[in-house]
Amino acid sequence: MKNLFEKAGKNFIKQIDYMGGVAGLVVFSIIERLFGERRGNKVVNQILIKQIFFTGWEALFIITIIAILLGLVITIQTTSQLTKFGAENLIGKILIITLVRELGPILTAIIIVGRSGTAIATEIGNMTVAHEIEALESMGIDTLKYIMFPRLIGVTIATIGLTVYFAAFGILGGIILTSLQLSIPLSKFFNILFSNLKLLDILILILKSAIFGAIIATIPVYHGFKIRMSSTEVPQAATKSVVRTLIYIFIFNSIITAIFYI
Amino acid sequence: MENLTEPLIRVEHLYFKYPGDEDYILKDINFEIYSGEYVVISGPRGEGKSTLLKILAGILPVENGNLFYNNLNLKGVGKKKLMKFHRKTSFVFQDSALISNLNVFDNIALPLRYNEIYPEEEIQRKVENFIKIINMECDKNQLPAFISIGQRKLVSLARALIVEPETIFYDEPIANLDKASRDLVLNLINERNKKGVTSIIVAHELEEFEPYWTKFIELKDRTVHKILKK
Repeated sequence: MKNLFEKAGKNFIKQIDYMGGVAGLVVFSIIERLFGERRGNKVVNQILIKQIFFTGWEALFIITIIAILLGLVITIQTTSQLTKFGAENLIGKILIITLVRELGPILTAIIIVGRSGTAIATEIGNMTVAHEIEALESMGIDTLKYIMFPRLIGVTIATIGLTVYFAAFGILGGIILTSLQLSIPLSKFFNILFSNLKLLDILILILKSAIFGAIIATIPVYHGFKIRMSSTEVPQAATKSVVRTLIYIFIFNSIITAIFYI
Repeated sequence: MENLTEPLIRVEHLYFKYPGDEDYILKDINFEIYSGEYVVISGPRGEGKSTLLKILAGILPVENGNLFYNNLNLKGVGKKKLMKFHRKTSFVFQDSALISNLNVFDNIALPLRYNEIYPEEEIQRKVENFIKIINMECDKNQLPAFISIGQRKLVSLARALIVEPETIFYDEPIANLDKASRDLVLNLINERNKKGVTSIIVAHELEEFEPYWTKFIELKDRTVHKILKK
């Protein structure tokens, strides 16, 4: 029993240490960019734009497909049940609840973890192994500012944009099907949809996606930095970072949902 | 050269071991280097020469002992002071350590662009000049993965020289290079040294450096075995 407590205690301390390390990357990279030396800002801004392009623009196609298909599926499943009770009017509300409040942010985050999270962990891991991080430091380049900051802000901006886009296209999928399948006129459907969409829902969607974006950028960088000198550590770091990122995304999603919707 | 009043670098009772290791890779290292010296550090493989060079360059931390650079103790030095120190020095890595997602031109330009010392036109002019010197006009838009190991080394050298540092640390600068590239690298190192740049070189090719060094430090049994001066 004592051993069990000891193990739990050690694990707890490890987790606190881990979270402290990850949070430190976020806080210090922002401080460095906003309040540190001005030198390097131009170069960092260019990397930031590339990161938004890579994470956001290049993911648009897959996000569009998945969002529309998901919107279709949700509408098919709900209408088949709701029409039995004559409650087709609730379709709009269900689309809002599922796509804006929950599935939109979570699924977008999962897609970005799969595309960008692994790419970031692998990139930073390879940079560590190839002594590129040391090379940057030897040139007087702040690695928090050069590596962490543009990824943090770039991935966060891209995640917010993609999540809004996902929710919009998911709803569009629902609209397409509804217009084909149901007897509800589109104008009425829009009315139902927008009367159920509250400003708070949009703000929470942005809050969730901003937090998910920060997690997706920071955890892979943290694991990439933690690699010592062997290239065999790189895939391990990528896998670990994906698992950890997903766990933290689900934890924060539950916390935010519980705070705002209970 | 040693008649100058203060040494540029002073190493006192330096010990070092990597995290997780039980044994020290460097033990009780002591020496001084004066401004403008041409120092060659040599010794058998695995004696910690590259580790020592990285400590001298502020890339690895000073844990036990002291390391003074212009009277600044690098042991426990703050981030701002360390960055300032890095901007006065350059490091040529054994395995080049070029930034893999930047092409040859941008790799050489990176320290100038980041530190915003010159306007972009001046940076372009300087980088083009170095690209000519290392004969890489045709490959300037290539990523490091698509050029040879020797070419990578030359790019790494150009990146170190372009910032006109007061001290340059070279880790095996001529290893794995053909004769022409070796001569080019040796010329560039000598040229800089003649202009007063302190050169600290880890190398095995002693006969190549013999005509030039002013101080020779040999490491053996993980400590300084002998120091020769010219």
